[in-house]
Amino acid sequence: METPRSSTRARRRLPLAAGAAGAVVGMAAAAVLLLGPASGAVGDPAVPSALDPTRIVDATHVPPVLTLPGEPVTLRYDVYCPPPAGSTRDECDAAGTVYVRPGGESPFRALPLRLDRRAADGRWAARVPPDVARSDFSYYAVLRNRAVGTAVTLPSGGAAAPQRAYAAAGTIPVELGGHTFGRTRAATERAFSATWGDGPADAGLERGREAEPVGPGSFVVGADGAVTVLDQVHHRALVQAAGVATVRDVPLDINGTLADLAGGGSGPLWVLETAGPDAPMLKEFARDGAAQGEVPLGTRTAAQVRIGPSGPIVKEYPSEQWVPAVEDGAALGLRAQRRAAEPLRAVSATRQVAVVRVGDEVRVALVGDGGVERAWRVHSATPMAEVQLAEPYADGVLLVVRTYTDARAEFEVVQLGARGLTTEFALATEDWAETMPLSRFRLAGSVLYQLGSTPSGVHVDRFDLEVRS
Amino acid sequence: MTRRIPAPVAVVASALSLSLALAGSAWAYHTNFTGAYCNYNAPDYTSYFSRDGSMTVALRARWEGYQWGGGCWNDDDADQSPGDPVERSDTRGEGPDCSGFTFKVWREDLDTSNQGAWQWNMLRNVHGPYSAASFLYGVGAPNSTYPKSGLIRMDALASANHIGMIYARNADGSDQIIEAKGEAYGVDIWTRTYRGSSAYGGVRRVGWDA
Repeated sequence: METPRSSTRARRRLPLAAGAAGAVVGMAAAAVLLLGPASGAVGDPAVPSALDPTRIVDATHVPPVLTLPGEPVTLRYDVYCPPPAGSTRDECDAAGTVYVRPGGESPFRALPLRLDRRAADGRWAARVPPDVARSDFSYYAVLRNRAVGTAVTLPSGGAAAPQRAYAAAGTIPVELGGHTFGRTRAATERAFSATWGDGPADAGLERGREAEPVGPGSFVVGADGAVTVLDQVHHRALVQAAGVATVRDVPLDINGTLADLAGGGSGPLWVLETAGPDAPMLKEFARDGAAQGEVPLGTRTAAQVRIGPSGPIVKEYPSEQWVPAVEDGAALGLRAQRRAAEPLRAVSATRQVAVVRVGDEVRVALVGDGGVERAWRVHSATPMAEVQLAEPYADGVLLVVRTYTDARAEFEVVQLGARGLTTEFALATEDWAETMPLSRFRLAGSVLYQLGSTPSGVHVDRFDLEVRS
Repeated sequence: MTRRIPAPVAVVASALSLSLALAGSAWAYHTNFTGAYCNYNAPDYTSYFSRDGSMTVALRARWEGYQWGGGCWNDDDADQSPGDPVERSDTRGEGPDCSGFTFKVWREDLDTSNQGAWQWNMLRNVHGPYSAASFLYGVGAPNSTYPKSGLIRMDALASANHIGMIYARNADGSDQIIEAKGEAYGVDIWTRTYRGSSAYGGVRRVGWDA
């Protein structure tokens, strides 16, 4: 939801008893068990009554990101809120307006959203006028629960930080055809490995019934080739230097749930906590693991942290924007974060990468101050799932996308250049244990690294993209 | 009013509490949420149910706790039973597990042969008859397997051990999933890549009106 929990609610925890107090509470608990819940025994929590359900209003939207010349563009939203009292239907009585403008400076034009009952997704829709859609355009939406008047703005920065779609003329077509499973490239070298366990160099595994195994959430690779793996189950990072067999651990004050990792090398480590009462939260640690600070993030969901030109940036939802959390060493407040959000991930001070999967193709572009510099349309006859990585590489982009059927999956590594497809090869998914969703790959120079796992342990494999003489 | 504890029961309770304390005092975190606040009221039959409506049911569970084998929560945006021992249905904590959450959000019937839709109150303690694996294989009249590439919001992705429902699609091809993830996670919306994982299959609740 766009409206985050209040800080007091987010931080409320029941007191945890331990030690001698455990015996007292344990006895009370035993009495409750034996006598049944009607005993009103010691230990009943003070539970506030249910909150007003009408406060719930949330909206989702898939931004077009990259549009093609002459392509009709319809902005679609889903809106969720309780139905009006007495309604025989159970949907939200919603309404909304999209504000669009060509480029990034002219006045916004209001477009009412209309309910498209035939649509499976994005049932509230507005067609962008062709004179606006033929070039870059920016937009934001205000969506309302008409029954009670509550509203949500998406992105939450509104006119100050709108979403943006980029016109991609002259896209370079790339046809991958149907994917042939089972022809995967072997790693050049294993850069990191750890068995599952609780020893000093083991990696923690979270598992149980009704749960898939969860392993280290993320990793980073330093300029010297050192691999740092976030072993969140053990509240630490595991570091293995290039060419060194031993692993050292760095304790981190994190909550132990799935988290993302960025930075490292000579700079601080940034951990994005995505679960728990205070999440999403960005935490900074020195190289020795000393806590340096925390930055609360005023968003519903955060999935990735990366290092931008001025500091860490976080991919947030439902805005689908990259939000700077820290600029030049200073943490940004929630309002400043909203107003500084960007539609694309900045890879340098002057360049951004745009990526969107549209049906059976992935559109990728390098975007500069003047708009799209170079763009590709990558089509596959086999379904493609998430884009794991899209980074500038050589004269184009290195793309890693998962290709799948209902029974099989592999990662497809696609190097895109000025003339189209430069190279492609497949990698085994090696995804026995869950990680952060979009943190299985890192590109460092001309080396691609993959975080993988098997029932025996976790590893990071390196794949050299260029043949070394 | 505190009920007087009969002597034999008190002895057993004392022994139990002592052993629990010595064993790390797992019960120190026991809140008996379900015993104190949940009910077993009958659900309301609904002749009309939509994906949008089920989204709202799911959103009311957001930020609540996780209870293995559970299915009762309030809507105060806090886990009333944090730190319960995992994988124990007898801890009586707040929240659903992944399959219980799906059952309740999909408004299914305890009778697996019935496709009808039932509105379960959030404080109704019910898990339903399905595990994640049974959802994966389309067990029960309301559930069917479905090709993953065609799944839309409020369809689900299930493995032999877990199930989550699609909340929204992301531009990069991943999905936002609303799920009861685990004791340390509770219920929330996260970006996930279940769709492309070969461990997961597609599941669709049949009979949506919209």
